[in-house]
Amino acid sequence: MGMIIDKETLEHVASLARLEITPEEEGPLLGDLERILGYVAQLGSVDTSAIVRKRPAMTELRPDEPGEGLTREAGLGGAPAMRDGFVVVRNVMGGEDE
Amino acid sequence: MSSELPRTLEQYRHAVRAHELSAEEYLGETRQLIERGDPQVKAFLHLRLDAARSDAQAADPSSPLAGAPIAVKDNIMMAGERCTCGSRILEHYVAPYSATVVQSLLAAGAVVPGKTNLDEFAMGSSTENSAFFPTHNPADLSRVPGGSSGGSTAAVAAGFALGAIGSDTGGSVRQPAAFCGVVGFKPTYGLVSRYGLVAFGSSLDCIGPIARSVRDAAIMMNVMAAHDPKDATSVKRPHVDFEAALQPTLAGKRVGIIRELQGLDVQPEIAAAMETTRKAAVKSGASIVEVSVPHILSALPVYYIIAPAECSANLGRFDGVRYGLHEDGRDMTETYSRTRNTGFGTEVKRRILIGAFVLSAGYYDAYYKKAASVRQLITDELDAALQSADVLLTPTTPTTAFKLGAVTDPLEMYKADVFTIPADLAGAPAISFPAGKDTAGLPVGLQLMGPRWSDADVLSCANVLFTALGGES
Repeated sequence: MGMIIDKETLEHVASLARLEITPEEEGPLLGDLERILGYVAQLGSVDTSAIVRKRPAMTELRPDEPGEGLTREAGLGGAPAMRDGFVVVRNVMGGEDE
Repeated sequence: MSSELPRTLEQYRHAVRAHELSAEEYLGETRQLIERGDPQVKAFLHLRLDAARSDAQAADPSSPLAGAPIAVKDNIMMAGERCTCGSRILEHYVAPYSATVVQSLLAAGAVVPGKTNLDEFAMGSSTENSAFFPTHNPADLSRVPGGSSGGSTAAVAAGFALGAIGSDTGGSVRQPAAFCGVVGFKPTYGLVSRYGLVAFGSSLDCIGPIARSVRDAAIMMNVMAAHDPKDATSVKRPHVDFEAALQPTLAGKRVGIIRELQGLDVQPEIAAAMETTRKAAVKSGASIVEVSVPHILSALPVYYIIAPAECSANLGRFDGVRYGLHEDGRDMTETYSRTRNTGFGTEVKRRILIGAFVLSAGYYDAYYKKAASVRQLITDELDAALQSADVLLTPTTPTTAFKLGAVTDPLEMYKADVFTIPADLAGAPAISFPAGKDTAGLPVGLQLMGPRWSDADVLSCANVLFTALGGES
C-alpha cells in the first residue's frame, strides 16, 4: 500500500490548520500520522451501503430575547490586546499597521 | 469532630447534618491532606483553599452538598479562576463566567478547593499530556492516574476532595476512575449542560461526576442533571431523583456480556474481576445474557477520526486574538500559526492535523463520512443489543494503571480507550466502578453501559455490584 500522507500533504494540512511545523517536528509527525491514518483506514472494509445516518435529535433554540449576559469588558477581557473596547489585530488588508 | 473522617459524600453529609462535623472543619482536614500529599500526587493545577474556607464557613448544612469539597477539572470554567485546559495557550486565561454545572454545584453547597490537572484540552489517557506537569496515581506514585480527567480522579482517590467533575469524550472520566479506584460516570449526552466546558469533540463531550461511591455519583447527578437553555444540546426531561432510584438488588435485570469483546487481550486480574462480578450479579438476582455488537471493535478507529475532526474545528478559536497566548508574526496568518505552534503541545497538534486531514477535500468521504456511517452502525447495533439486555458489563480498561512514561506510542495510548469509546459514540450512559485490585495492588475498574436515558438504572445496577464487591453503600 502506498503512503497515505506525504510531506506536501502534511504541509498543506498544516497550513489549513494554521500550524507551523518545524523541520525537526516533520519527520516524527509524518511517521505518527501515517500509522494513525493507516490504522483508522481499516473502516474502509466495513460495508456501510445500507446505513441510514439519523440526524441528531433537534436542538431547541431559546427565544432570541435580550437577557443577562457577559458585559463587553468581561467578554473581551481575555484578549491579548484591546483598544476602545475592540480587539487589536494586524492590518488584514495589507499596508502598514497603525 | 468525630475521630474518623467520613469516607464518602453521603457519610459527610450525614455527619454535617447531625452536627458531628462542620464544613469548615472538614475542609481544614482536606487542606492538610492536600498540603501533605499534593506535592507528590500533583492533582491540582491551581488551588483556592482560602476562598474555599470562606465558602465552607458560609455553606448551609442543610443544602444538598452541605459544604463538601468538590474539585473541578481545569477545562470547566469557574468565574474569576484560571481555566488553562492544561495548555500553554490558555496558561493565563481567567474564566469570565462559570459553567452551568459549576453554578449548580455551588448553589447546592459545594466548595471548590481547586482546579485539577488534565491532558491538554482533554486529549490523552494518562494526564502526561498536560503542558504543566503529569499527575501521579495515589495508589502508586510511579504510575499514571489515567486521563484525561486524571487530576480529578487522583484528587478524589487521595482524599483531596469528596467528589470531582470531569469531562468524558472517549472515556476521560471512566478510564482514570478505573486507574485510581474511584467511580466515574458519563451521563447520557444531553443530560448535563456543557455550557462553560471548553469544547473538544462537540458530538461526544459530556460532563460527569467522579466519586468515592456510586451513591455519591447519584447524589452529584441530582445536582448536575438539568435542562439548560444556554446549551442547545441539553435536553428537557422529566426530573429523576437518581439517589432515590437506587434499588437494593438486580432482581429481573439482564446483564449483557458482549461476544465480540471476549477475545480481547485483557490483564488476567481484570478478566477474573469480570468473572467475580458476573457471579455477584447472578447472586443479586440478575440473569446473564450474551449479546452481539458485531462492529464494536470499529469504535476505536471511528473515534480517532470523529474526535480529531471535531477538535480541529473547535480549536480553531485559539488564534492569539480573542484569548490566551499571542505570538506576533509579520501578518495575521503568521500570527495565527506562530501562536498555535507555541501554544499547543504535540498530541494536540497531532490531532488537529489528523482532523484537518480527514475533513479536507479528497479525503472527507473516505475518512470522515465513512466514520460517521460506522458510528451510526455501532449505535444501531448497541441499541439492538440493549433490547435483550438492560445493561452491558465490560472491563473499563484492558490493563490497570501503567508506569509514567511507559506508553510513548500515540496509537498504543489510544488503544487504552477500546472499552469506553462505544458509549461516547452512542451518547449512552456508562459508569466505571472499582472491582478489586490486581496482584500489584492496583485498582481494577469495570464498566456498565445502558441505553440512552437509562442513567438512573445504570447507576442503580452499578451500586448493587459495587456494594456486593465490598464498596461503600
